[in-house]
Amino acid sequence: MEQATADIRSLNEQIHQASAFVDLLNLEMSKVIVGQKYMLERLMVALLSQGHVLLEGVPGLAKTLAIKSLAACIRAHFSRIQFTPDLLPADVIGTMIYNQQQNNFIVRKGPIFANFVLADEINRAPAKVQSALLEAMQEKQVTIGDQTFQLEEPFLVLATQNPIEQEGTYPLPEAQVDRFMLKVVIGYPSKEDEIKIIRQNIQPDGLPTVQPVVQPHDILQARNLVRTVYMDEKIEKYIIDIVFATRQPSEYKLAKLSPLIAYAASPRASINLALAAKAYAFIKRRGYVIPEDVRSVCYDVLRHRIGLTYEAEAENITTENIISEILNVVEVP
Amino acid sequence: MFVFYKVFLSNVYNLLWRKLWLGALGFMLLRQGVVFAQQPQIKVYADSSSILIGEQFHVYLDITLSPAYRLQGYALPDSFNHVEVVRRHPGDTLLVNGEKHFQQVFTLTSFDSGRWVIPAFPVVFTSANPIDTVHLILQTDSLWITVHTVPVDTTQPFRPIHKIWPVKLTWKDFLPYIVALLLLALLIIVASYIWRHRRKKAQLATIQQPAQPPYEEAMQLLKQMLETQSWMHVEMKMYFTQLTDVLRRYIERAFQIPAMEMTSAELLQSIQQDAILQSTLNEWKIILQEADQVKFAKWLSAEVIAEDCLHKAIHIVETTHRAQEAQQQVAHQKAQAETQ
Repeated sequence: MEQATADIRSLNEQIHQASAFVDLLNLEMSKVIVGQKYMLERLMVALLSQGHVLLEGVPGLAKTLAIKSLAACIRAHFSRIQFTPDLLPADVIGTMIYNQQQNNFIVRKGPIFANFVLADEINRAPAKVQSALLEAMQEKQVTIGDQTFQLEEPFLVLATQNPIEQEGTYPLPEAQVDRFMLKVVIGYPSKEDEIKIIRQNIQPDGLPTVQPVVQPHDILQARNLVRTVYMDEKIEKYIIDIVFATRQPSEYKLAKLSPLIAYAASPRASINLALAAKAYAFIKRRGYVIPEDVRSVCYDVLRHRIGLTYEAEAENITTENIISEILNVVEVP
Repeated sequence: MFVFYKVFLSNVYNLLWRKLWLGALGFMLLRQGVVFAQQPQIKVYADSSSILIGEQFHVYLDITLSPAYRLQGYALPDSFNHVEVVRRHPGDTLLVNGEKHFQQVFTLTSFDSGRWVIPAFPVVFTSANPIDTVHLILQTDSLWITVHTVPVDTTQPFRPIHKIWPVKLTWKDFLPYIVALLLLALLIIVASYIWRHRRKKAQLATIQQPAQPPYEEAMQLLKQMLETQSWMHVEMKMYFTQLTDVLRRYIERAFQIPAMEMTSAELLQSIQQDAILQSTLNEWKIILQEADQVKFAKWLSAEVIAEDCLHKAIHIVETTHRAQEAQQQVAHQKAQAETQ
């Protein structure tokens, strides 16, 4: 028992030291990004837990700037793909092109070969392009012709969806959405933040540039440490209770939710909730997970993994409402 | 000579054979005469000889028979010669002076105009003697029926067909529904009575203890922990779980804060916002931080700290209870002053 305690203490100290770059990163990012702390925190969670993020928000909320700046802070390669209805899988992953001089086919790698990929308005491209991207996200490798290429780590995909203008879009199927670790919904900045944004954007020198403060291998090391963050069985049970409450609401005195849930969170949700909670604990520079960590990431992990019935949609009930109900009923350990 | 004898014998044989046949025939005729000495009487008549198309009329079949006979049946088909049998009324049998009188009425109709014959149909009798298998078949008389079409006065103008006239509803039409509703209401009353009766019985069976007030409940558990020095005897994780559960349950009941479903940070935030609880915020912070580390990070809290946390918990409960009582007293005095 004492040995275990000593292990966790040393782990806590180790994580406390290793996670120092998070503060540096936040400081550097705050030079250009104002008032999107929540989004930045989630990007870090996804980056540290090897997940990908589906970002939902209206245009102009600094989504591109955030991921571009993050890539610059980590000295990583960034690329952006604007998804359109006429986009082809080859435009994303790359293709073989004929080289007249050498009289052979050579591989032209697509924009997916980057550390940070911004898939802008992913729901504007047809299913075959979406699945090409999602397959690469899952497998972390791309096959062009007869050659398979491993994608360079760290690899983070930030896909955006516009909640308005749904006409002519190809909504991601549930199975594909499930592959995103987090679905983050971002809102407008506050008045104070928006004043800062205006000032920052109209200053004569333009936007400040961010400097690399972290190396990609620091992120890779941090990822390994994130997996060692201690999670007590009480926390595991808490996660299971939350996920099972989406499946069997009546067992948690939530029978009223049964007709509102079409399909519940999958085991992938439990895994991702645990992993994201560990990453969140790491960001908070702790070597162990507490219930706050689970609750903090719960909405982002579960909101795209719970299906609503027509009845719920007719009553304007959202998945956030359902998660709130569950969190208000499931006892915290 | 031989040929003469042969011809003679052949003639004698033929003569004898013919006589035998004639004798048998005579015997049969004689016998027949004995058996059907009083033949059954059949009479068929109709109550009308002319009808309007589709109108119904009756045909009566009267049979009188002696005890020596038994009526086996008759063959009147359901439909014949433009005439249809609508209904066969049950037969009626009377015994008068040893004779059986059988009567059956048939309701017939026709939908074709013209003069139609109701043909004779066979009536079969058998002997009353079961050994005798001979049948007597008699034919009824045939009848004529004239079917007229509806006379149309073509001098009058043609008028459209009348719409269907709604039938006026009477209370008899509603009677089955009223009875069904009354029965249903009765059934519901009986069922609810039984259910209430059973519920009352069940309630009587369990004697519920009045819930202990939150302060008393919390103090009882905390003092029990203090007396047993449970931080020394139970696992530290279990000890802090019990301690925080007692405190959470106390403020959930006494201050209506859903503490059992709150994380430590959320709980501290709620405590900060409560007028009475905020005075104990620092103690809460110490207890919850220590408890979180013990519960979720395998932290081995020192016994002194564990005991101190328990004392702090007791202090929290006592302080907040006193403050709450004082607040209630002030409110009560204020209410009394207002009424006076």
